[in-house]
Amino acid sequence: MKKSKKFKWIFLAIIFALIFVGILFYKFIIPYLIVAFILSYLIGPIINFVEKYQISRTLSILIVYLISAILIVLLFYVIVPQIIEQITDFAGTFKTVFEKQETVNLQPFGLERISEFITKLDLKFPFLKIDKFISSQGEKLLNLIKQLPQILMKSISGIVNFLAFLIVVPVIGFFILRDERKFLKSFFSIIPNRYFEFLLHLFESIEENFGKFFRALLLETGIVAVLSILGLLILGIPYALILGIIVGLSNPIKYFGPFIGAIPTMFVILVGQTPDIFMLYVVIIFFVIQQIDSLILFPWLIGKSMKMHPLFVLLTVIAGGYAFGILGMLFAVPIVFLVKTIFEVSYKSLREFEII
Amino acid sequence: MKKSSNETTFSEKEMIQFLGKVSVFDKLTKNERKNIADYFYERKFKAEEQIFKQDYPSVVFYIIKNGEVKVFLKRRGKEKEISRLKSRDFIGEIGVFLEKNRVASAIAKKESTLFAISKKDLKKFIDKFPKAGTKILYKFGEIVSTYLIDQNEDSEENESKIL
Repeated sequence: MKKSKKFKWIFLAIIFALIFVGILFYKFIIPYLIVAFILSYLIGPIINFVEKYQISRTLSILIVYLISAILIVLLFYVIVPQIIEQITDFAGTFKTVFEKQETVNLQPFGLERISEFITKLDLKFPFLKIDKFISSQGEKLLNLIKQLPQILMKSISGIVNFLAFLIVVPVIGFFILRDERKFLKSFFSIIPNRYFEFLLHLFESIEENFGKFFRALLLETGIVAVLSILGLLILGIPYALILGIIVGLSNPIKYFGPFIGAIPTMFVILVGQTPDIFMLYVVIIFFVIQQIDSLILFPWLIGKSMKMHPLFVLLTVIAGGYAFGILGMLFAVPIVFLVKTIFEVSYKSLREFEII
Repeated sequence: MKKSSNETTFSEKEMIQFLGKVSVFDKLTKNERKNIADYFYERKFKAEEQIFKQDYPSVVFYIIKNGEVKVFLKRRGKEKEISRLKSRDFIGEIGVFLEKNRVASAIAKKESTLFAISKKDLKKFIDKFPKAGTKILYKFGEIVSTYLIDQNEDSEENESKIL
């Protein structure tokens, strides 16, 4: 008996060592896995829907993949050429202007209004020295543009990595979607009977809680994006589609998101042909959408599933921003919420199953 | 086959075949049984091992593949056996329909293999395949109705005995 126990401990130690080495070896793959998990989580319900029609799971996944691929390609055909045209246009004007003159003057390239605005500001608040600040920033920008080819060369390896990402993630997603039951079965087959129902209960509760939250967040993002696109279309502001999507995507960043999301729209109005007064209209429309979001959408969709104090949410967003920038601001609250959910649910189940 | 059946895990084919012999699932087509087989976890219990305990949350519903299971109640420290279950019987069906903790305890009397399906997965399956789901729910209704008739007959018999 004693000997077998000793062997058991040695065996356990070897297993833990293997897990540790495994994590070290596969650590570069972890981002792929996370993105693949999110992807499979998002399209899981669609595949379940296709499967209802007596189509095998593998075929269902392939059908959904094919349709998504066609949609993405179509989207790129419609939107990407427009964006590229705009960017090259914009960069072109910048370059010619900078090549002609050394000192930075904002007037020549359709930024008269900004220039006027700045002069006005300067007159009113001379102590701010805005003019000097702007020209020094402009010089920095100029240097950056001159270095652009070098930066591009450096980022080629980045592009290759990105392409690998684009190919590998759907492949991982495919296997997660197809074999999720098998993975679950083999995981639970090594769990002792005493903990089987407990762990299954835990897994299901976490999935349910977080799933609800995640889907609600997605729905909220979608509705805010659609409302913003409609508002911008009504005002006749160019690139309403892209700008609205940006507003929607930044919306989940609590408190700061609406301001961050509005920046590109303001920029487009300032630079483009749209009269400046439209900035006010956009502010009014975004304000109304924010009110709809915070008074109706958020309490209705998320309020119930996320019991976090507003102050805690605010602090989490700020901390996330300090640690990981905009992405940190976006993901801090969901991740903290996930950890909190796991902790709460585990404690409750551990008590119910008399494990603690 | 006799002894080794407990050692090895069951293949998908065996499982589909077995599910056809369980009353709740015997109306399902082979394809439907294949789909629900995906949701089952195979659990092996040693003799005298606890399967579930009274008052614990009711998470899964078990079908007995082989072996023997004792179901019992504990009241004021006393054990009262309710039933002995054998292959093709199932336990935990109350949990499927009521949001209640386990109303009784179960232990394996012999070395046993059970198939477990979680309540949530069963609901997911019914949502996803409503046709097959209806057949399962009808079967449950049939079983409960038969049980009620038996109970009535029992109580009538008791009454006539008293008279």
